[in-house]
Amino acid sequence: MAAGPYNYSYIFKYIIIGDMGVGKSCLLHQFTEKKFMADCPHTIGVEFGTRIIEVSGQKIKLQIWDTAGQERFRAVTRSYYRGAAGALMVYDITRRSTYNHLSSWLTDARNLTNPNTVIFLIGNKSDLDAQRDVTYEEAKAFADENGLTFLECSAKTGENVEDAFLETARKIYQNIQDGSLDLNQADSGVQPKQLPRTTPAGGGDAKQCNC
Amino acid sequence: MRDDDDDDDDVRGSEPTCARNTLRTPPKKPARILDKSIENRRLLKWTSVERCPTHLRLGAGPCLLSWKRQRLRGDDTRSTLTPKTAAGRALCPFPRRRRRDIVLSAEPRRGSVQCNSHFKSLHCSPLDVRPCTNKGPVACAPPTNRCAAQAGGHLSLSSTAPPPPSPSSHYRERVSLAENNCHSDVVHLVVIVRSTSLSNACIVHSVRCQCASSLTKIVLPAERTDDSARTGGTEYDQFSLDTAFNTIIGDRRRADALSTSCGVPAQQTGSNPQLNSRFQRRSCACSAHVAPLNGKKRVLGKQMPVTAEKAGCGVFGRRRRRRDVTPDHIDQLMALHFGGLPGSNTDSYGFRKPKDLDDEAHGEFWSNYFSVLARREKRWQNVELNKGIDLRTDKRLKRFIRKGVPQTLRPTVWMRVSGAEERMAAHPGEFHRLAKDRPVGETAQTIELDLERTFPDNDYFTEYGRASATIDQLRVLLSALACKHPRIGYCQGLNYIGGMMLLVMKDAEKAFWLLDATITDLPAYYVADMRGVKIDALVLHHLIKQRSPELAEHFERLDVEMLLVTTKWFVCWYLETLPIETVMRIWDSLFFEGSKIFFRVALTLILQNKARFLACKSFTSATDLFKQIIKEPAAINCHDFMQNIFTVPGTLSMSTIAQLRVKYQNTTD
Repeated sequence: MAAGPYNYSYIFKYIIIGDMGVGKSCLLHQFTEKKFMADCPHTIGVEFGTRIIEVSGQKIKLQIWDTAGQERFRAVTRSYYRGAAGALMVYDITRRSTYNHLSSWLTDARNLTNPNTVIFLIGNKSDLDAQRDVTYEEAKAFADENGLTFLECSAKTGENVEDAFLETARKIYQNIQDGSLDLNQADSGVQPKQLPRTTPAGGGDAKQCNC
Repeated sequence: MRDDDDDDDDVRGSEPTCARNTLRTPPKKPARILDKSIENRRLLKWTSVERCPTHLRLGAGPCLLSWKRQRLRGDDTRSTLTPKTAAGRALCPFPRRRRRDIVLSAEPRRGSVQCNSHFKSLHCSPLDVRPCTNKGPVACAPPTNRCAAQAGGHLSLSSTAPPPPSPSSHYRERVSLAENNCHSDVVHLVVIVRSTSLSNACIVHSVRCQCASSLTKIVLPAERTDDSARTGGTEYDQFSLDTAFNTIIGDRRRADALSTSCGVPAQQTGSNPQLNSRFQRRSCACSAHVAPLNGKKRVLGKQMPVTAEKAGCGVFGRRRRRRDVTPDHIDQLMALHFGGLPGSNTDSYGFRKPKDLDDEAHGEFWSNYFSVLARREKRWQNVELNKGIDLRTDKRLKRFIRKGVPQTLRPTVWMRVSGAEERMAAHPGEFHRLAKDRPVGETAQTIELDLERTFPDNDYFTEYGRASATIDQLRVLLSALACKHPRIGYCQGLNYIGGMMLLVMKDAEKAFWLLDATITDLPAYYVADMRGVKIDALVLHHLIKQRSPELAEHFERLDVEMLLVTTKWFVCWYLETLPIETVMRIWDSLFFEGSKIFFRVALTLILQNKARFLACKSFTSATDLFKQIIKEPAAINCHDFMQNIFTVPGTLSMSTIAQLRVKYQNTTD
């Protein structure tokens, strides 16, 4: 633990949203563990992941909220959008219905987060190109129209997964640098550096995060 | 692990609290043991090498019997390390929680022993003895026959035989063994149990057993080669081993009594100054190493005079509890709970070992739990679930259910107490009718999507083997439920509950009615806006605030809402959260007492770890701790956990919950 888990400048809160079965949990697992989880159970409520990344020489801790995808869980997960600095909106390129629901996810994301929240569109399962149901161009057009950044990823092969998370962080960091994201705002989704703790607090604190 | 019953109140009453943490496992009456021992020695014609193993004389009744059976069968290969021996752990004379680093003698030279006991069914592999140099075990020496071990060196026992086919090896126990043969007439044995798991009692047994046979063979002094001397030496060694073990157990008087009735003259101890002084020396060494044990040998808190008759039972004090537990019964229960699909490493429900399972805690818990289960099963034989009686008001039934329903009775008891049986009787054929109506559109799609994601770690739910049947049943079950409750349709989480019910009830119709009866009793958890879950999260927060305002405030400060954790806990009824046996015990009470059990479990998990939560300084550390506490030994040990849920949160009535639900209903609206 040379670097130490607390040696970072900011904490960014991310939220991953999208229909059920699009691979939200697998993306998170691929990003935090660099492994593909083949028999991934579906998420009930919310799960958390963390990883420390580096953007422009600054260490940033990502605190990622992975939400349940079933429609009715949105009643519960809507309260989790608050204070998210980044929102990863995921659809499955092999299932058009998941793409069609994007507008409703986007509405939630826009309404429930602050205006500076970076929303990133991810078309998952790019490894299943043969079963593709949504073309890249179509999704790209949707993203451009709504001012989103877009990438097709594969949680299975890991393709573009890092880029999606890192690119989002870069945008957030940029917003901080140019002053458009006010850190004093309660729901900015960014917490500045914590003071490193001198004594281990025991319990959960003693446990290292999985970064 | 306590398993008190009303009829044991006298015993319980006289037992101070320290007994709870110390000696748990009673040996048999010495007279009985010795009779058995002598009888067995005759019966089984022990050779000079394969004598009645030491531990069998120390009160391990089931071990003795299984040993006997095994010997009579001529089954030599597995030695004593059969599941039966493992099950005999219930009667191991070693005290619980005092078993770590037990040193029989402070002799400096040590070898090491590695044993495997195996996942879940707690099998142990046979041990082989390897010859070692004086400096310790030979690193990569090929396993040799026991008999090949040479005199004068250390003995290292290691597990070399292939593990039993079914359970994979998990529990790695480290047992260090050393032997001091510097004196010509007495073999001293040093066993250092460096166990991190208390399930090693069986290994201790086996080590003793191995030592008893191998030492007599190997380490007999050279001058004692003639037969008579060998016999004499053997007896003598055996005796000293016995005494050594008894000394460490902290019951010297019992050892003396044992030696008296064993046919080894008691005065031998006294009359042999060398031996006597060595015993004393050893006792001193022991007390230095097991200091906590030394002062606690009279765990009943009374300086009871231990006579030869009482020795061995008075100290442990719980003889009555386990007397009715037979090894056969324990074998049956092991098979019942861990007899997974043929050729697979699963429990009886088909679950593979979770990757993050705390092996030690799991092993320790189960090695103790079988005897509890056996006793509960016996007690349940007298329970009558007559129709026509209001079961819900039956105090005895409530108490029994809180202590756990035997696995074999679960389908019956659950159906009866939850009211599912009445529903099923009132609507004959409805399930089959509903099963034909398949829901359409999104519900059907969602169910289909989740079927393959239900219990991916369970053999019944994977394409591996007999999968399709269970998945088909689950599809029918969830579809029928969606048709019966259009307001609910299908909600993620119901697949886990329905799947688990299928595994327990083994009948889709019963599972359906049980699920139907329970979700009707629950607040609106599964409806489209999941209102009930949100309300109950607030209710839980309220209850925490009542019990510990500082903790509730701390959670608020860290921005940790109860909803974050309780969604999964409540929606899945703790499935996929707590260990499966704990969940089954929770469900036992849930069907009888209703949804307040959810709060009891949540409050217990949180309040038991209050100090650790208060120490959390950030949101992340708190959420990490929530993930951690559900995997810890406190959660694995379901028997103690279930006792805690009825004590830790204090009084909690269903009417309080109902009032609070009404109160918070308005806030969420």
